[in-house]
This record gives sequence, C-alpha cells and structure tokens, in this order.
Amino acid sequence: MALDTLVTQMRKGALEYCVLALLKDQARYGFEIVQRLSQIDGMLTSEGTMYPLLGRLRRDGLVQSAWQESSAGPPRRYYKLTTGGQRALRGFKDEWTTFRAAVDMILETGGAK
Amino acid sequence: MTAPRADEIVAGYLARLAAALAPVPAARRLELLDELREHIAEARQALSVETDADVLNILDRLGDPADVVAAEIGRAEIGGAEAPVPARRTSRGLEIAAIVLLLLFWPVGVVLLWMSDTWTTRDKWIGTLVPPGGYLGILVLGPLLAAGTLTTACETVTDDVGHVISSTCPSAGAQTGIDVVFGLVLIMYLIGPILGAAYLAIRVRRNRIPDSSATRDGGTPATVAAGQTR
Repeated sequence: MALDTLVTQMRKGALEYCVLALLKDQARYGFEIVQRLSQIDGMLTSEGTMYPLLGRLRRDGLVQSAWQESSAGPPRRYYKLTTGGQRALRGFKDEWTTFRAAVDMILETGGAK
Repeated sequence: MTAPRADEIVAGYLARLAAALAPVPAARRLELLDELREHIAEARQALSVETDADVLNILDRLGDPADVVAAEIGRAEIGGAEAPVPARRTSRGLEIAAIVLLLLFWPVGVVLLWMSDTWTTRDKWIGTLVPPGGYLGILVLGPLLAAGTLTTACETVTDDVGHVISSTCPSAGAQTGIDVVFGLVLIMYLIGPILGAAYLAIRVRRNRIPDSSATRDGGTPATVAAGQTR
C-alpha cells in the first residue's frame, strides 16, 4: 500500500523525463511515444494520460510540437525537445545517476564502506 | 477492415471523453480530443485484421476518460496515489477588504466587491446600492443634502411656456415635514452602509456552504475546477 504509492509516485516523477529522453535525438509523434513506453513494462498504465503529460511539457516549454504530413494517413503532431527540455533532461540524468548509485550502494552493502 | 461495431465503440468512447473533459478549457479540450482520436486511428491502422475486441482493447489501454481528465487537471491520475483535493479558497481577505472599504472608501470597495466570486450578482447590486456611497458618500452627500434642504427646498417645475407643473415650495407648516424627511434620510445614510455591510458579511458565510457553489457568481463547479489548473 505505502510501497504501491511510492512506486506510483516514482514512476510518475520519472515518466516525464523518460518522455524527454525519447525525444532527445529525434522528434516523435504521440502514438509513437506511447507505443515505445508501453513496451517497457510498468512505465505507462493509462496510455491516454500521455497526452495531458505532453501538453504539460509543452506549457512548461520543455517540448514543442508541430504538424507534419504523414505518408500514411492524416498529418501527425510531432514533439521535439526545446533547449530548455535538453537542459532539464541533462539535469535529471545527473541527479538520477547520483541518487541511484547512492541507494544501490546502501541497499547492497547496508551502508558499510 | 473495420469491425462491425468498431466505429460506434470509438464514437462512444470519444463522447464519454468529451463529456468528462467539460472542466477543461474549450481549446485545450478540442486539442486533447483530436490527439486521442488520432491515437485511436493510428492504433487501428496498425492492426492487420480488426475485430471489435481489438478496438475495445485499444480503448482499454487508453484508460478511463476520468484518468485522462485527472492527468490534465493535475490530480493524481494513476490509481492509489493520494489526490490532493483542489482546495476551496478559504482565505476571505478580498471579501473582508471589500466590506470594510465599502464603508470607508466606497469606490475601491465596489471594485473589490465585483472582483470577488463569493457573492451572487444580486448580492453585488445590493452591496453597491444599499450603502449609498458608504461613509465617504455621507461626507460628500450629507452637506449637499443639508444645503439642498435649507436653500432649494422650494422647487418649482415649469414647462417651456412657463406654466407651473409642480411646486414643492413648502407652506410654513410643511417645513417641519421636510425636517422630518431630512432626519429620516440622514438616519438611513448612517445605518444603510452598516446594514449593507452586514448583509454582505452574512452572504459570505452562507456562500461557504459547498452546495451553493453552483449558484455562485464564479460559475459552475466545472469552470471553477478549470480555473484551478492554472
């Protein structure tokens, strides 16, 4: 119960940076982002919530979106990182790496050096 | 390739989503509906053979419309997490300032009164008109009224050819009547603002009962919720 809540919160907090990471090297459209995250177990429970998240990232200036023609079917809304988004992603990556290493170390050694 | 009831199922889902998105501002609501409609179209396109069950599965993975809405308006969307209930505004600073200023500095008080979403439009008109200018109004109007009673109490209205239409020129005995009227007006001016302020204060307390929120001037609970997304 408490653990469930914690896991939910961690996943939720990390999810937006995972989205930023997916957009690091290329622009992607919504359905593509959802598909990629859904393939990774447990990252995305309700796929529909990705669209509010993308909207929030855009309002926060971390991503921008543009319509692009698609060869198959209607135009797609592509999302890509802004400079701010790149900065946020780098910041998260540094923090995450440090945090993960620290927790791993303590979990594995019980804090003994 | 379309499964027999697929379009109907999708339309039903989008209709439920549209209804659930009512608290979201219209432009953003349409954008979200577009994106989810597109998502469904893409997912269906990716199927080689489509059955109703496939379509239901796509919608199932998208999730309950309520989850989408919750994610949009900033509450915990993934089950289990404690959702902070959007707090009803409990601070009443604006309202208190409005009531005090209605008494002391009426012009600003009126502006604050109309800015607040606590009172109904009817309350606001009462608040605007019952304390007639507040005590500032008395300072300005009181002497005018007094002067008017003393000097222009005798007023004759004529038409443009000079016939008397009406005259308020008092007979000697009527002068005491005017004094009484003047006294009553003065008392009303002294008590009116207090009564008006007291009425507004009572209405503030009454409007704090959540059930009355739908009738508040601030709009329906839906638009209030939308306002909290900012």
